[in-house]
Amino acid sequence: MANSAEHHDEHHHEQSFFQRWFLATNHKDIGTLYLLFSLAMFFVGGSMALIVRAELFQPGLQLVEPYFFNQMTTMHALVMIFGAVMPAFVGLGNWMIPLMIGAPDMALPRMNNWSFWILPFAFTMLLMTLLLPGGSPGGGWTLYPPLSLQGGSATAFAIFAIHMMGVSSIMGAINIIATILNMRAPGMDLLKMPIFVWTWLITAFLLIGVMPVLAGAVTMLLTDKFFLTSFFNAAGGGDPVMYQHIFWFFGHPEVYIMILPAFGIVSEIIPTFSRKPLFGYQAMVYATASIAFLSFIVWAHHMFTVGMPLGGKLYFMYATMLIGIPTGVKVFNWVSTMWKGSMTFETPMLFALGFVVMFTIGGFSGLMLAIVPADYQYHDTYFVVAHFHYVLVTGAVFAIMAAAYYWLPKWTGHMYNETLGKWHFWLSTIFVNLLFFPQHFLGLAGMPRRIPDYNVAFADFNMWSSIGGFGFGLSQLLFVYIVIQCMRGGAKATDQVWEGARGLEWTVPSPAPHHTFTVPPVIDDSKLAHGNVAH
Amino acid sequence: MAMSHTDAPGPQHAEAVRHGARRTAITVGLVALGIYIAFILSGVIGR
Repeated sequence: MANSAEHHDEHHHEQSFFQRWFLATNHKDIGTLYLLFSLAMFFVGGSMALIVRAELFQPGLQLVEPYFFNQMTTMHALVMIFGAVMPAFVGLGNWMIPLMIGAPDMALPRMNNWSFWILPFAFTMLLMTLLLPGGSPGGGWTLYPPLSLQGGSATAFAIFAIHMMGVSSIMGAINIIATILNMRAPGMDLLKMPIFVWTWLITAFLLIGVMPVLAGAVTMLLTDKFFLTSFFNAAGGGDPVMYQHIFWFFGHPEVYIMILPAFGIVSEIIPTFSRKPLFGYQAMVYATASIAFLSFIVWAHHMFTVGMPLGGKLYFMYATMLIGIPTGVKVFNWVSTMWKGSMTFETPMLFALGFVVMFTIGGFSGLMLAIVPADYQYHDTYFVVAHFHYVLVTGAVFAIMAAAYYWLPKWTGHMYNETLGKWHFWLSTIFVNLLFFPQHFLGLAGMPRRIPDYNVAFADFNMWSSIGGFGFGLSQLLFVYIVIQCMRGGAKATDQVWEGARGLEWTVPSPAPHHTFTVPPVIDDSKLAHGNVAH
Repeated sequence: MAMSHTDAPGPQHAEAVRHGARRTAITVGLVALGIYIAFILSGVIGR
């Protein structure tokens, strides 16, 4: 198998910098571009979060004007969701999916290039709104009308940027579906695919299902703002609540777009460092598909307080709670995989375990929010902020960190500094909990979200939360240092890298050559990670 | 073992894969476009 993988193609050595990176069609190069872009956006979005946390360090207005504070909360969310988390997963998918299924590249390499290069322009446009008169959008990332229609020209910039991000995501999803369905190596049946590939396949279908819905919603916003339509304008016979329904029909599956690939990553890492096959492989696949299906039919739990019929509230409450079942299957299977395993705790495993514990905390607070009468109290408070940051930071971001450490030796050919990696994990874990756990108490005590000033009763928890925020942000500089250090040198990584690693990606040399699997690999079931294979 | 090196697919197989990938991409892309149009139409009809 290695012979086919060792096809070091000389092409890329002849390419200029411009050709290699701007005209990139190689899945590994495009994956690298996505990951670097995502890292940059993490720091842009993170800086905005730190402005928010700096203002909230004490009660009263200290550092920024309220309107700018609102712009920071809005832009932080847009940048983190569309610029950091989603591109990180697309980057990981680009790098690893062809390697995991034995394909030479993505199915549509030139469209892959286009998918990536749209993003820097989209985010330049979005971030440029900060320089416009009136500043960037400040009505929240949900862009609810009528508030979002009352801004200046920033609305048009933001909507065009969101359209571009959507086009990029849809093209990326098309590519992933076409690759997985058509380019698997002979013998790589669907139920032998690594779980990461499965989760990405399902995520890609989610993207196809909901990104056009977001595009439709913001197109209607645009025509309401500039072309005198009244889709959401009550004065013209429209309905602002209809926007909320359409937005959340996109918005809830979007949450799973940001977490399903994370489930896939954790399902790869835990078996490796437990030195056991994944417990309940098929159950994991079906649980992922169930979560994806349920994500389409629970959207209105984001808007219980909008005033809907009792039957609607009951339906959306129970449907939402159902998601706990397939999610519980996953957590059970991760724990069962570790049970009696020969476990070691390298940095990827630490981040994966951190994910399991802290994502579950976010899941439980989600169940609390699903209960209608309780949600009436929690709605629009810091409890919601705590909930979704546990899901998205200690969930999605921790999984991205786990993946980066897990595959970094395969990408660079060097081992990262394990001691510094562990420092990064522990600093991140301590500070992220200091940052977000007190926000549960703030919310339960009634502190509303998206406010720059607050009652002095909330002062202590806010101070601790802000200290946690700065600690967590600074800890990420250590990650950048570790990655740069690993790219520049370090102990040579073996092909398999990790003792317990299985799967096609570990059969190619480290670093992975520019071109791999130009001849389809011979599938050796015993070397596959999952599925109906003999170990 | 599903196959050996001697069973490696030839150029015709590669062309079939490319064709299949293109067809999948066009189908999925049309679905996305259909959803976009359907939701705007639902907005038009809904109000």
